[in-house]
Amino acid sequence: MSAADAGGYTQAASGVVIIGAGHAGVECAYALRTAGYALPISLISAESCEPYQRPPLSKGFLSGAMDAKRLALRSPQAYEKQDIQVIIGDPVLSLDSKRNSVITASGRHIEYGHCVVATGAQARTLPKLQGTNVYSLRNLDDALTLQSKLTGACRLLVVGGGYLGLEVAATAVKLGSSVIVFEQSPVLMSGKVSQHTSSEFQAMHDQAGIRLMRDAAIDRWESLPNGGWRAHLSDGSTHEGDVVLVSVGAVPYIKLAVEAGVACDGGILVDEHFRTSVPNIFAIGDCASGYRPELACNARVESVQNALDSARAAAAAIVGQPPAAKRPATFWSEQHGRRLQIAGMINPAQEVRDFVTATANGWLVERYQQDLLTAIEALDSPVEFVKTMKLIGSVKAPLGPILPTHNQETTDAHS
Amino acid sequence: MPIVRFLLPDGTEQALDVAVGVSLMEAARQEGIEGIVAECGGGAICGTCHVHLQKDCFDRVEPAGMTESALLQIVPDASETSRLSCQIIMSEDLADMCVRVPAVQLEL
Repeated sequence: MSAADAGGYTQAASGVVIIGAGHAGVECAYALRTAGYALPISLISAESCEPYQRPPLSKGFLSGAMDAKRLALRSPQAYEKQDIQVIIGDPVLSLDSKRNSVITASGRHIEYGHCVVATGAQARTLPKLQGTNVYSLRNLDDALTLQSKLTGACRLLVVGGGYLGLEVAATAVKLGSSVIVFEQSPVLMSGKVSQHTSSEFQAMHDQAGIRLMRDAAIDRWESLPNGGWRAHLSDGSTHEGDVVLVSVGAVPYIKLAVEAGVACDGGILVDEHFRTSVPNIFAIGDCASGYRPELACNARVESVQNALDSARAAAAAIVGQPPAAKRPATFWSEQHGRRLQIAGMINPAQEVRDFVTATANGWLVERYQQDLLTAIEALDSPVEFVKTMKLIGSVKAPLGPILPTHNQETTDAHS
Repeated sequence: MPIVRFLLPDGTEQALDVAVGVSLMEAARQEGIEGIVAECGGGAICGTCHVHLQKDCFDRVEPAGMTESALLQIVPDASETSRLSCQIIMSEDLADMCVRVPAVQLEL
């Protein structure tokens, strides 16, 4: 779509309603104002606190190094200054795409010219593991609850050895908890990172005293009289803990969109401008699923970069401006004080060849598919990251030693 | 609350109350100061919250760590008093400091 043919959607009389006030929702509101959008903007959050950033919830905030006021994305005065109406603690109950309006739990009825769905994703739960002392980590309340449990004597069981589970494990062990991580695949951060990065992180967690159960098949969970849990593994071993964190991925929150008749398939389907199947409804951030040429399919991407870029692209389409140039997807994680940055995504259907180089403080992995640089990983090497990221999609594989790795699986990360 | 003055690329100035213990980047983000992108949220890994400090303030803050120093080598418009604002934590000692925001940040 060019700027000209976006004209049909511009500046509809009732303004923009943004459902969800995470990174994506807040950025969209600001990007609209920066682009000169003059009509009312309502930013609606189901949560009762000021809009905040989520990445620290498993890291600095959970460890106590960072207090809640530092999580706020913007101050209340900043929204006022930009004339953005922020509605908190009032979930949207229905999105009526025929009447162009939303209705909230408190009975607010807001009409829109454009609606932006930025509802994010919820933690995936396990049907056989529910009840006392079983937690997920997606929002501030989850983090506060988990934080209150992670005292020195706590035995924490983490189900899922992806970014989130490992970040919490690293934070918990620092707080004095003893930690066991169950991962069903043979490697940590399976499908997200190279074999090199995965095994190096495994060594870090081992060294920190975290017990890693890889290839773990959990047959059954037993609830104990003291409120704790016992995991029974298929190899006959059992493992007890006081608190369980379930970190097995997220499910997009698409209920409002589905009920509004918006096309969804594992996420709210969007075009390159983040427009849904309903012309004046957009979807951005974790809940949106758009075509990813690098993967040759639709995919949701859970990352701050994707939240920000999709928010800016939707804002540009609403005001009728051309979109910014596309950037590779980027992700980051922090475990045991080491910072991992990733750019680009690996197509699980194609062979990957990894080229690992040592850097001053860590390492750089260049990942090639079909002879082209497709993704990179950098540990504590932000300069190498920035420089190499610019080469994604344009540089051919080097002739040096390349370590073959197995195919990867999924695409979403959480930071 | 201590005040920090941000000199913006368009020549205007914006004074912010910055709570002790909060980073300059966080204060700038919360007030929606354009020009401080801060994509990584404060980890000194993205290099998009570059600012110029006054010399006397620069000398008073903890020196940059290794990754921050490396990033400061590649940010546009770097000077001798360049820092990443996510690494400057507000203290009473820094009250009334003046910080210049560059016209462009590192392009990611």
